[in-house]
Amino acid sequence: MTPATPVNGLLIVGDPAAAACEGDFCAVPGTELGTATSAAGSTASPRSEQALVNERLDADLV
Amino acid sequence: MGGSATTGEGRHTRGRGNGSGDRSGDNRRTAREYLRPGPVVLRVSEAIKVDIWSDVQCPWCYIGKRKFEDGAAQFGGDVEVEYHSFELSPDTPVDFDGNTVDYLSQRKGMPVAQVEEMLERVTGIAKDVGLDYDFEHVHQTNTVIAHELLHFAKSKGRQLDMKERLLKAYFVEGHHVGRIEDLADLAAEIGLDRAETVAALEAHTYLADVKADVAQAQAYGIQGVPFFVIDGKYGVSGAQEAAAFANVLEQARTERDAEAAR
Repeated sequence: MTPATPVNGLLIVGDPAAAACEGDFCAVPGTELGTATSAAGSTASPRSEQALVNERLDADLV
Repeated sequence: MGGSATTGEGRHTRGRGNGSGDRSGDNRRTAREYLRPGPVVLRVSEAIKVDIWSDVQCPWCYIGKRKFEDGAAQFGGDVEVEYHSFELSPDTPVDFDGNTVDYLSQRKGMPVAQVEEMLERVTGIAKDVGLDYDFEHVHQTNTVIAHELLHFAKSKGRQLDMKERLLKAYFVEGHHVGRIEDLADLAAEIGLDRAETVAALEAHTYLADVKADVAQAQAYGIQGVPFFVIDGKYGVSGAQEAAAFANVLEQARTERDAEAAR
């Protein structure tokens, strides 16, 4: 396992670049859209930045 | 964390919840069930609890489900799984007129060609784990009622079967999973009482449970799905490789054994 990182009472383990969906956007590893999101926002990948932008867009829509 | 809704000791036949067969058990599933057919007697007290947050319209959740199942099989021990609700896009209208390409291109302003390239890649990854995604026929929709159905199914000890049926219906078969009547049909397919299902969904009996799951996810700091909480201790995000799941399950078991030896 990869080194554990405590996040809100959980030890986050595994590949931080594993593919996941955040908001209504699901990143695809290896594409120009950035790498996959990670657990609990524990990394600042280009994908995470995109997800933040998407969330703000959604908030505007609401 | 939301407690297990399972009760008593159950027996299962093999399968990943295809909706067929006489399954009267609960939400527990063991690694052995993924490996060989036949009834399995569970040793509930020894099972590693795995709480999984996911959404019905999350392509990585279905892929991650398969990878987790493979990891649990590699692990070889008893695993108790409970699914929890996570709404990726709660403001999506139930009757959005379009598929995933339409949705992402309209909502995100992404070029259609780029979206299609993305989905083609996801489809290929899904194929690698035995899933035949058909994004062309996906009905993008709001999933909150589908989540209510999962809680209803949990109350009947059928959550795992319902989860599998919903994911297959959405990604593979092009079913609509946002409307009560369509959801009731799927529930009936796995043996739930259709009229009772409709009544529960129309009354939104389980909406509070959905919201409680979402609140728990927020408390954990979960921002993306799938997200796996192993034994209430480890967090695993995303569609990890099977070996990663097997490793963390083994770690949890090792720690339990160490505590028991003290």
